[in-house]
Amino acid sequence: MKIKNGFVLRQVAGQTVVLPADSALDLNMMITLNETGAFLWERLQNDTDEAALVVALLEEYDVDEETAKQSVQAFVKKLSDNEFLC
Amino acid sequence: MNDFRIEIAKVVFCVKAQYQNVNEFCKEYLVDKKPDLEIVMERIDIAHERKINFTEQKIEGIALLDFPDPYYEITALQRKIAERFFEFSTLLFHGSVVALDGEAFLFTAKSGTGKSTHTRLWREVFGSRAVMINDDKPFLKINDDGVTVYGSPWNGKHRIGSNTSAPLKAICILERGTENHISEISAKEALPMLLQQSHRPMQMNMMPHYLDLIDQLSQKVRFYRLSCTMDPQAAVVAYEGMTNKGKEEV
Repeated sequence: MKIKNGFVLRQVAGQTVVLPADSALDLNMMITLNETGAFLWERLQNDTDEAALVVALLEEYDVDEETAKQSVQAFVKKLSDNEFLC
Repeated sequence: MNDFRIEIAKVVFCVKAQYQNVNEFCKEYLVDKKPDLEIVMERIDIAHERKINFTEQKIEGIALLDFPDPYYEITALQRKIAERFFEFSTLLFHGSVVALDGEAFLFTAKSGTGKSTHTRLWREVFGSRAVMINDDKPFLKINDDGVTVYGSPWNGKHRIGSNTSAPLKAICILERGTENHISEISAKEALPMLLQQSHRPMQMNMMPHYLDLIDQLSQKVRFYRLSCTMDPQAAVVAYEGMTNKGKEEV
């Protein structure tokens, strides 16, 4: 799985913002990401899976495996529910 | 084809328009200078504008109204010019801007909230100290040391504005209320409004640059939220709320 093409991620006003690059009118797809979200988003630019994301989180942050798994699952579900993934 | 030159926010455009109405509309901005850029208006731009008009009317849930082609060419030109202004670090913004003693305050809100009514109160209360820069679509140039707001021909249905500029001190989100109250808000809180009320690029490759400009804008002016009535006192509350803060800093 990976993030669909056509999104721009940028630091704006102290937040990580994701916008559809070609939207002339519809801003409903704008989301803001926290630090972990931005970290996972970057990794999801390339094809990956949940297990690899958990490993990446464990390497980068001081969290236990169970927390990392839950974070990844919740984030992936949110992206998938909102059709950000392909 | 109808050729003319206009200067907006220090940029000179040579416009090749389909109809004569456009240069009449831009008459306060006509110049005879060497152009920086050329804008060619095509039939397809007018058709595109008509489509956008219908989409916006559907979103707002109002009756679908059509207009003659020259009307659409005027807004199509605004869109094309706004698109070229990104490269000059300049954003087209939706709002009513009034300058008081040379410092500009921009009020933004959805159409119909009462931005124009509120800046009219500033003119009533402050008299000739208050100068309207633009009542609908000013341009904001992001400089290293601050933001300058410029007038434009697209100055709202009452055609209020002037071909002038001023340093932008604050952007204020306006809401209707039963009493007058203003408070400062963070750039983070203002961000959704900044994205909604500015012209966003139609070309995908311009989006990162646009977001960088929004980020710079968020750092260079102060943001406020005003809840207000239509009483002249609203102008006093707004002005004091946005300037006392500045005095504290000095």
